[in-house]
Amino acid sequence: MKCPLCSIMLISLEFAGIEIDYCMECKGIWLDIGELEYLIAEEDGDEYLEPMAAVGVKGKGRACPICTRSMKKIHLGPTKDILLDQCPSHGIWFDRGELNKFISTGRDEKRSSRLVQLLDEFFPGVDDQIEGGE
Amino acid sequence: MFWSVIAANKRKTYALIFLMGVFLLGTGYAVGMAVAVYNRPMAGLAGLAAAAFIWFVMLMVSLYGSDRVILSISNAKRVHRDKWPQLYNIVEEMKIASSLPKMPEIYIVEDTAPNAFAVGKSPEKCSICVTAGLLAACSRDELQGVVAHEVGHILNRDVMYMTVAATMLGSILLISDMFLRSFKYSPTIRFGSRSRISGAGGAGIIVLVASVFLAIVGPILARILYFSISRKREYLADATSARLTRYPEGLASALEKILKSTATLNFAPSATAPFYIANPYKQHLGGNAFATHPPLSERIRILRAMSAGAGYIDYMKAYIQVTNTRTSLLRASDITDTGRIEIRQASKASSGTELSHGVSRRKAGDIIRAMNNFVFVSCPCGVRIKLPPQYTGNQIRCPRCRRIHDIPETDNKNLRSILTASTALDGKNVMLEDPGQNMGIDLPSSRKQTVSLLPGKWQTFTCNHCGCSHELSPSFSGRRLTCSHCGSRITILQQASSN
Ligand SMILES: [Zn+2]
Ligand SMILES: [Zn+2]
Ligand SMILES: [Zn+2]
Ligand SMILES: [Zn+2]
Repeated sequence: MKCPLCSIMLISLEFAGIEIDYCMECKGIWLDIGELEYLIAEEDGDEYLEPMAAVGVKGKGRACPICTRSMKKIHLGPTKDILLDQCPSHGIWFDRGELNKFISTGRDEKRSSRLVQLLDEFFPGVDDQIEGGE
Repeated sequence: MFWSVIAANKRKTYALIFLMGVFLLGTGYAVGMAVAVYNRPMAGLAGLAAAAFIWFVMLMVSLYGSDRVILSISNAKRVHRDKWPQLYNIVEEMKIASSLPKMPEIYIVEDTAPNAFAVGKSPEKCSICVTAGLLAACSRDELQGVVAHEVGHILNRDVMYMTVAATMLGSILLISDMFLRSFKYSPTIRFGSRSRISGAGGAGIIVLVASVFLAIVGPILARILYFSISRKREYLADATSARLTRYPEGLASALEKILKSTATLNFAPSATAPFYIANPYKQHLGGNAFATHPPLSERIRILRAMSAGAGYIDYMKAYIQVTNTRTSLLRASDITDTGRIEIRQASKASSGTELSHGVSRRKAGDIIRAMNNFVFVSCPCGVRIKLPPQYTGNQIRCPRCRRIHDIPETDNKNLRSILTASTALDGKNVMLEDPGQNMGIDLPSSRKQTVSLLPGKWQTFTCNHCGCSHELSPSFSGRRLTCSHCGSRITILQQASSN
C-alpha cells in the first residue's frame, strides 16, 4: 500500500486495539472500510458515517492505496469542514490531523472525549496543536 | 467409516466422468456435422476427435491438477511444518486418529473470513485448507474440530467427488466467474505486500459475448453440481469430527464463530462454494431450498445435543432429536463403528475467550502479513509497527514515542509474531520466549529459548534462532537441548499432567 500523497509505502500501526495505516512522511492516516465504523460505533449513530459527495471541488482524486483507483472527495459527519478522500470499496484517507478533527468536531465534549484522548495518546506529537516541530 | 457413502461417492465420480464424455462427444460430433461444407462424415469424426481430446484433457486435469487449480483460485498458500508446527500438529493428530494413509498438505487462505475446506482426488493425495480468519478466531480445540470435519470429508470421498465435479462442471463456471470479475474490479489482497492494479482491460467484444454466454450457462451447471452433491455430507463430516476429536463442543463453537462472523470470503468462485465447511456466501435465514449447506445453527444444535458420548450412534440420535425427523442419516448397518466413545475434557490450552470481530480481523491480518514477510516491531511504548517487505531502510522511528528501532531480519522473527497473533496456535504447550522482547530491547543473547512440554505427547517446535524444527518424543525427559543446526541452547520445561 502506497501513500496517495507521497507514494511511499504505508506502515501499519497497532495501539490499544486500534489499527491504522500511516505514512511516515506526511503523517496521513488510512482507515480500511469498516475500521472507522468499528472505531466510533459505540459513540455515535450512523449520521456520522453517511458520506456526502463534496460538490464543486476541483482537482483529480488521489489514488486509493489498495486499488489505485481515483478516490472521491467526500464530507463525513454533520459539518462540511473536513474534506476527505474515500474509495467506496476500500476505505478513507485522512490527511495529517484530519482524523482528530473529524472525531472532535460536531460532537459534544463528553461523547468524543474518549476517542480524542485515545488518538492523542496514539500520536502525542502529531496533533496539530501540540506539534512544535521536529 | 460409512461404506455406503464412500461407495456412492465413487459411483457418482465415475458416472460424472462418463456422462461428461458422452456429452462432449455428442456436442463435438454435432458441431462437426453442422459446420462441414463437404465430406460430412469426416468432419463429424474430426469433431468427435476434438471432443475426445478435450474430454481427455479435462480428465487428466481433474485427476492430476484440479487440487492445484482450486487451491490457487482460492488464493491458498502452502505452509510447511517448520513454519507452522502447531497447525501441523493438529492435522497430524487427526491424520493418526483417522488412520489416513498419508499426511494431507496444509494450506492457508489469505482471507479474514473464517472458513475451511479440503480438496484432492483420494485420501492419499489431499490438502486441507484453513483461512487466516479461522486461525485467528479459533482456539486449539475449535481448530481441531474443523480439521477433523475436513478429514471426515476426505474419508467419505466427498472431497474426491467434489474435486472431480468442480473441475469438470466447474471449469466453465470458473471461466465465467473470472470474466465477470474482470469486469467488476480485481479483488485485492488487503494485507498483501502489493496493491494490485485493476486488471479490467479492454479485451473487447469477444470477452463480452463469451461472458454473457457463460453467465447464462454457469448457473445451470452450478445447479447440476448442487443437485449431485449429498445433502447429508456436512452432517456426516460433523459426526466424524465429533468421533475423531471426542469433543463435539470444539466443532460446535468453531461453527458458532463462523456463523457470527460478518466477514465474507473474497476468493470463493461459486463452483467452489460447496467445498467449504460453511457456505462462503451468507445464507438466507431459515432453510433455503437451494442452499449448498445445511443451516449452521442446526449443525451446532446437533453437536451440542450429544451428551451421552462422542460416537457415531450418539450423533445419529442427536440428529433425530434436533431435526425432528424420523428418517435417520444412515441405515444402522452402515455404521460399523458403534463403540461407545467417551467425551473428553476441554483441553487446557483453549482459552475460550470471545474475540470481538475487530480483534479477530486484526489477528487474521497479522497472519496474512506474516505470510507475506512483513516485519513486526514491538515498541516498548505499546505500539506495534508492521512493516511491508518493500519498506526500505534498516531503521524505523516509532511515531508515538520517537524511539528508533533496528528493523530485524524477517523469517524467524515473523514466526514469533504469528504465534502471538493466533489464539489457536499460541497454546500454552509451546512457548517461545525471547528474553529481549518483554523489555523491548533485542538482546544479542536471544539464542536461548524455553519450550514447555505437555507430558505423553509428541511435540514439534521450532528453533528461534535458525528456524529449523525439532521433534520430541513422549519419552523425552531431558532438561536441555542444543539445536543441531545453530547450537542454540533450548531449555525444556516439563509441565504437570493436564488430563
Ligand atoms: Zn505520505
Ligand atoms: Zn480502492
Ligand atoms: Zn464440510
Ligand atoms: Zn514507541
